[in-house]
Amino acid sequence: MKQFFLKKRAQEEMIGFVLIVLLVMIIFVVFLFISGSKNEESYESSEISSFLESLKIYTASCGDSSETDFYSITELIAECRDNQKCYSGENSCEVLDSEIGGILNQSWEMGINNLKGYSLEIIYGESEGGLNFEEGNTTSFSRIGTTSFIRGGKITISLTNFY
Amino acid sequence: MKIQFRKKGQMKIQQMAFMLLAVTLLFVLAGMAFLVIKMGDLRESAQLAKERDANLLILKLANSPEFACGASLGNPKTGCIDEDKIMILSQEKNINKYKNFWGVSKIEIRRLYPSENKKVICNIGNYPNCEIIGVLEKGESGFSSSNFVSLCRKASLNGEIYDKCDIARLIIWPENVR
Repeated sequence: MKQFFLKKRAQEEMIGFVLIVLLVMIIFVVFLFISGSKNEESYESSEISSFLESLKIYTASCGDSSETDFYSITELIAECRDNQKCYSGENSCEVLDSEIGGILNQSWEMGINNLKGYSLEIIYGESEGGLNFEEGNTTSFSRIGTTSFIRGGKITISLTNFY
Repeated sequence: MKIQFRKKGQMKIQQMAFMLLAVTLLFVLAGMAFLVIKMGDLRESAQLAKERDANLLILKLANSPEFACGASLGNPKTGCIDEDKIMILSQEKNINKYKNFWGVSKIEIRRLYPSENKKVICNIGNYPNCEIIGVLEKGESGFSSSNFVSLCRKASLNGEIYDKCDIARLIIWPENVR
């Protein structure tokens, strides 16, 4: 009888020990998960914010009522949303596409400072859609910048650079 | 009976040793997790602080009266440089008066767009068909900071004057960093 009780107690202690080992293993897995998840980083960049401010002021090659009455990029974005044409007869969206494409290409060269790719989004209002310019690859390390302005409704420009 | 008790004692000591090992391991892992999180935050904060400082220094320079667009090119804007003013300022007789004014060893403005990628240095003869304006040069310090700015000027087309703003980078080499 005494031997039976001793065996049962030993079994209980073994189960307790196994439970502790399991607990430690779970904690180790959680630790590995936390370490792994820190590989994904994204933060606001003042350099991108400055770029977006300069982009907004840039004088586009699309005019309004005369040859020299050129739009800024903010005005051209609004003209494109309203499907307007430039003074020269060109489609405002085509001009916007070529201007922003050129600016991004010259300002953010792939490979410089380890840049792998970028994505610029222009969002009209809350859910009216918008425009998107992408180049290169997306990675888990990114720097972002956003700016908004009102021109016949809210327009948001957001740029994400991937490293 | 004696052997059984001795065996039980050994088992207890083993259990205790394993338990101590497990508890130590638990604390070590918890500490490591804490350190990894803290170090990640620290790295991010350092990067942000470095970028913010460089940006503030450049914006301070870009918004100084010698560089800023002011009201001559529409509404005053932040981070907007008057290119015409800078071309005059960069002339040797003018910039010599500012040599020790900003505490930087070199100031350069590079037009990024529109640009034909020729990297032509600006002078009174080729302006504005050029890319690089060397504002000040007292020798390079090796370390530089740069940020985006708007480079605006008065342009003309068929005799009509209008405001033209390009995208550029203002690059500075601080004097005291080597």
